[in-house]
Amino acid sequence: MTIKYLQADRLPAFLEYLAEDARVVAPFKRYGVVQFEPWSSGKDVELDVLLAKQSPKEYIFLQTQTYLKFGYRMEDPETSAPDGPGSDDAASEGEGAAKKAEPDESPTVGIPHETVHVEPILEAQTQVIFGCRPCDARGFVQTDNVFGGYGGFYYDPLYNARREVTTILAVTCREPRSTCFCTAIGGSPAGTEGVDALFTQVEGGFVAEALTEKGEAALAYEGLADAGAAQTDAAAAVKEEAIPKVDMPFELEGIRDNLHDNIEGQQWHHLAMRCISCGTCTYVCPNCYCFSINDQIVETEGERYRVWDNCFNPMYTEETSGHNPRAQKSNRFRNRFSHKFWYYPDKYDSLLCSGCGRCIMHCPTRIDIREVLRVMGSPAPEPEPAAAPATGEGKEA
Amino acid sequence: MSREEHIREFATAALAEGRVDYFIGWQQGYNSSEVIPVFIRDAAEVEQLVWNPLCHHNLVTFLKRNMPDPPDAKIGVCVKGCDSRTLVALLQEELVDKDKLYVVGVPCDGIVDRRKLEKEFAAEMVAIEFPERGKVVVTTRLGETQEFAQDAVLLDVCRLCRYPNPVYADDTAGPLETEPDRKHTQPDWTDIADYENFSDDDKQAVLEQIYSTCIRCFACINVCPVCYCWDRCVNRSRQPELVSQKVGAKENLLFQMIHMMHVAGRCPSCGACDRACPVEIPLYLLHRKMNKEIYDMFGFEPGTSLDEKPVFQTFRIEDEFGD
Repeated sequence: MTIKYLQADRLPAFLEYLAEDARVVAPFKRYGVVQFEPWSSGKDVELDVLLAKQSPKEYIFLQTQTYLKFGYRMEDPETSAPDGPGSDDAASEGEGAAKKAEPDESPTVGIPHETVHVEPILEAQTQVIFGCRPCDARGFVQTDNVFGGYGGFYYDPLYNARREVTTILAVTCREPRSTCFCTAIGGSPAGTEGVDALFTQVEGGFVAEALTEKGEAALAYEGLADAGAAQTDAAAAVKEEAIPKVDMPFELEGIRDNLHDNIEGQQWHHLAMRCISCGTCTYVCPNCYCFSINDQIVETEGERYRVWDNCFNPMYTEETSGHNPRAQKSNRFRNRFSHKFWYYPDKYDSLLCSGCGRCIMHCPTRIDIREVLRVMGSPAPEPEPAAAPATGEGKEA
Repeated sequence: MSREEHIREFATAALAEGRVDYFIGWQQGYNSSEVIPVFIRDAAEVEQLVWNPLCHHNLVTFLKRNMPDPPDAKIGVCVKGCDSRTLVALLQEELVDKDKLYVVGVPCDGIVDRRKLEKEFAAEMVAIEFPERGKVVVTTRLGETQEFAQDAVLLDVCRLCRYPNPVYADDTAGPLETEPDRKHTQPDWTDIADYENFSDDDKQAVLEQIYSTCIRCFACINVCPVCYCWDRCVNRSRQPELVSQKVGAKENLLFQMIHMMHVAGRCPSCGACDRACPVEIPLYLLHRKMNKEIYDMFGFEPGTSLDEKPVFQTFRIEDEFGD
C-alpha cells in the first residue's frame, strides 16, 4: 500500500494534476454555505467545516437525470421514402433514431402511421471526489446494493456508470461534531469503506494512503513525497484521537427487531409531531436514493428524466385511485427510519445510514434520528394494554 | 414572573382543565444552541417549555391542514407577533377553528439569527446562553466562548419588526413590548432597497443565481404556516406536470415565484421559510418585496385584523393598480 505525503500548499497542484483527465469535485464555501462543486483553478477547497450541507451523492446519483429522449412522427409510406423525414422534424436528431423506427414498417405498409423514436442517454464523466468524509464514502457502498443488482434485484446502469468512473478521496475527520454517530453503526472518522485513498491532515499537510487501485492511480502524482515515519505516526495519532470524539448515542444491536415489533407504537405519532414532512433529511443524506420518473413533452418531442423524490412527500405513495397508504405524516415518518434500519438490511444485508448526522443538523425542526432509534429501537413496552388508557383518555374514538 | 413561567402556567392550566389535547411551545433541542417545537400532552411535562431568543419556529405551521394529530385535536399554541399574523391570516379564511384553539401570545424582543452566529466559528456551537437581556454567549465544542450583543445578531426580519406583540391571543405571557407608532410611521423597507435598485435584467440574474442552489426539499412550502395546500402542492404535480420537476435555476425560480404569488396577501414575511431552508437561500427577499408592493398599492399589511380578508380576496373600486 502506498503512503504519501502531500504538503498543504501543494494541494492546488495536486487537484490540477487530477483534473488533467477527470472532473474534480470538492467542497467549497459560497456565501458561507459549504457544498460539493466541480473544482476549477483558483478555488479554495473548504476542509475546516466538517461536513458540506449535502453529501457528494448527487455526483453519482444525479438529482435530475435525463436518460431518454423520444419523439413521435407520422410516416406515410405512399408519399415518402420509409426513412425520409415525413415532416420537417429535426433531422439533426440523428440516424440512430430513424433506424429504430424501422421495425414498424412491415405490418403497416401503405398506411400512414405514427412512429416513436427513442434515444437512450447514458453519460458518465470520469471524476474524482476529493474532500468527502469517510461516512460519505460509506454511504455509496451502502447504496451500491440497491442499484448494483444485489440479491438478483435491479441493476441500475445510470448509477453504476458513474460509480465505476469515480475515484473517492476522503479526508479523516479530526474534529467530529456532536451530531456524528458513525462509530455507533460500525463506521469510523477514519473509515476506509468505499474510500480509494484516505487523506489525514497532519502538521503542514496530508498523509495519503492508497486503499484501492484507483487510489494508487491518484497518488501517482509526482509532487507527492513518500511519507516518513514521523508523518505516518502523526496520522495514526490523529485517527486515534478522533475516534473517541464520536458519540455512541444508541446500541445498534436489536434495533431491527425492535423496529419491527414497534411498528404500531403510539410513540411514532409523538415523535412525528414536529416533523413538517419536507424532504430535507433525505436530500442531505448520503444514502437516501428514492426518485420519481417524469416525462416532459413539448409538441412531438419529449424527454424522460428521473429526479430525487422522498418518502416524506405526501404524494410519494399516492396511488392512481387516490388512495394513499401513507396518508398520515406519522406513517411517512416511520418509513424513513424503518427503511434504513429494518427493511433495507433485511433485503440488502446492509444498513442504509452511515452516521453523518446531516439529517439532524439540517432538519428545520431538528428531528433527531438518534432519539428516534433510542425510542423505537428499544424493546416494545410490555404492559401495552395497561398503558393505553392512560394516554388515550377517551380523546379519540 | 418571566415569560417562560407564564407560558408554563398557561399550559398547565389548559392541560389540567382539559381545554386542550396538547400544547405546542418551544423546547431545548439536542443542546442549548438549538430550540425545537415541543408538543406537551401532560401537565407534568410543562417544565420542558422554554422561552428565549432562539425560539424562532412559527408554531402556527402545526395548525394547518393535515398537520394536527389526531386531526380534530384541541390545541394550545404559543405565538410571537409575526406568528400571530400568520394565524390571523388562517382565521381570516376560516381555515382554523377558533373554538378548538387556545392561543398564548408571547411578546418578543427579537429572535437571534443562529446561522449568523454559526458562521463566526469553524467549530460546532454546542451552547447558546442568555445570561441577561440583550446578551448572547456562545460556546463551541472546542471550548471557545464568545459574547455577542443580541441586537447585533438578530434576524433581519426582526430588526425591522413592527409587530413585536401578538395581534391575536387568548392570554399573553407577561407585559407587552414597546411598539412603534404604526399609525404615523411607514414600514421600513430598507432591507430590499438594494434589490429594488437593480435593473430588470440584474433582478432576473440575481434571482436565478440565488435559487440555483435550491434542492427542492419543500421545507419552505411545508414550514410556511399560510401555505395550506402544502401536501397537494401545484409545484409537485406530475400529471399534468404543471411545473417542471427538474431541479435547475429557472425551474426553481418559477417554483418559488408560484409560492410567493400563492401566499401574497397572507404572508407577513415571518421568515419561517428562510430559516427552514437547508441551503440558506434568502427566501424572504421575494416575500418582503411582495409585501411592499401590497402595502404601496393597497395600504395593506397581511394578518393584522380578524375583521379583514386577505387583500386578494377583496375588491374595492378605488384600489390602485400597479403598472
